[in-house]
Amino acid sequence: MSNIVKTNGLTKKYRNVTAVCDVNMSIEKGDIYALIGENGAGKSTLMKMLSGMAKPTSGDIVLFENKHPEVARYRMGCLIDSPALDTRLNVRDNLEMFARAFGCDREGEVDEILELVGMKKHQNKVIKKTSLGMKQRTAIGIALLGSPDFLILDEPMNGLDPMGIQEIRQLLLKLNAEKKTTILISSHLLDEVAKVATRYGFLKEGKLICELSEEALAEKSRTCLKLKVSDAAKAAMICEKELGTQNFEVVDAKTIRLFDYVEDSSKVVTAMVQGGVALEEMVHAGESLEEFFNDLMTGGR
Amino acid sequence: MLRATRASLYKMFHDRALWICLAGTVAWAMVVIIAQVMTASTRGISDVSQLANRWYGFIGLHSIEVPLILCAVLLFTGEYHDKSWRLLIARGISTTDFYVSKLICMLLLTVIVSFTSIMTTAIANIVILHAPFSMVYVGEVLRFFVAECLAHLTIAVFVLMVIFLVRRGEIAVMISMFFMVFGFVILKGLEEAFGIDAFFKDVWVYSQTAYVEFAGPVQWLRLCVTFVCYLVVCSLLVIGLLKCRDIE
Repeated sequence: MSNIVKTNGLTKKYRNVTAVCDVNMSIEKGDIYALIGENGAGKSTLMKMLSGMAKPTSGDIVLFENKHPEVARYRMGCLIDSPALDTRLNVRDNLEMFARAFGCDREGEVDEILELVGMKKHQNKVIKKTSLGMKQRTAIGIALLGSPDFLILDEPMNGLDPMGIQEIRQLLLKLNAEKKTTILISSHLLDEVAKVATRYGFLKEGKLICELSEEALAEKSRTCLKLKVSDAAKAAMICEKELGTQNFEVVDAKTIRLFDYVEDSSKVVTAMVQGGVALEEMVHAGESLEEFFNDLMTGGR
Repeated sequence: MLRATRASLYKMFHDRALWICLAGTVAWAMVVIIAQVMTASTRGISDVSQLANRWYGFIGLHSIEVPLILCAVLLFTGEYHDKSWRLLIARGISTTDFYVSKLICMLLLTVIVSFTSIMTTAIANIVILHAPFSMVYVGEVLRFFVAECLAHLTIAVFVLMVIFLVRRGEIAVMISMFFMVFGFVILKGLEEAFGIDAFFKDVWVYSQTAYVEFAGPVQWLRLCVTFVCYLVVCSLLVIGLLKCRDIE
């Protein structure tokens, strides 16, 4: 599989503040890569560097296996921060203008995009007088002009109504399935992200602390018993010998995650007590991306 | 560069600011002519046709800097204000291409505004002031148009540089107006203070229109050289600055 994005030691500093620190990430063709992090974690800065809006302080970016990203950017579509539209022009004129700039003004292209993002009936409205949701749809439409191979979407669901969120989600899945469009997306609506993403990158204080595939995340976030014990190594032996399972993971010296016996935790308690391991805490954990994210941000993983 | 220019031209011609500016230019030219007619008697001119073919029949043209600055600021700061230029950069259009596309639009805008103003005045001269319509008259108008354009194109390059440097519409207007009103006086004062005479103030961007008069001699070389110098220096400054700035 070919790499669409590969970064090497990507860092961005604003005076004394390090917004992005030594990020090494790779996005492969066909991925829907979700960038997840708290406010100020560096998501938008990272996206701005990939799209050429911010210059990296150090490190490099390889786009479409081309070491000169500025040459490869014509294959990208972007929506970063708020919808950047010309507020004095109407919806159609905005699309027409950007279509000319991107060199993709074949006849009917703008009409197709207007139809795709559900803005056909609002095409003559001046941007200044449209709602945030309409602006967002128009901006997504601009990002889709020329059928880009790679889409960067920063908070694309912002301002959309529930129906709009659903439509955009379906649109992204359709583009990914039919045109193999690679997508880098960030959103605070974790449940929405979880419905589309195939890979995840978690950013904390500018650092990429964890990169996971959809399957790996499902594995990590699947329901389990999280045990805080006096000795995790000894507890692991008890799991193997007394409970007869290898379906567990030793997190650290005092924490173990057991994926079996989730509905029969009394057996686990009995085995630990009989084996001489002090059980300090036992909780059911790992039910959703949100919980996984919270755990990761608070250092629970 | 061609793609960026096509987009900029599309935007310019679909923006109401251009048409409002042109309407303002026509109105201003008419006001100047009508004012000339109404005040003729106070200046001892009994026959208004005496005003025709005189440079003061075209005096309003020297004031098109104001609508030109306002229109340029409205048209070219929008991209910064709306942040829409980021989308162009994100699609691989270089900052140099972006600037050049805006420069082409700015120069075209200046030619259009100058042409509109001169044509309005020329027609009003014929209709209201009864100027004789002849090939000599047409030739004079064309010569005046080219000379005025050269002077205004120099101003256009300078104003575009101010817009790219400060990015904020209202501040760009204030700076441009300040230089238009006080620039010559400040330079004259500085020249006198340092004992240098007639150099900086003569090549000052807003001084150029003073060398253009209807039916008068035109200092073509001075106008051309000044325009080219401003074009090169201002463009290099903006392109250099855009290369080191982040796209905000």
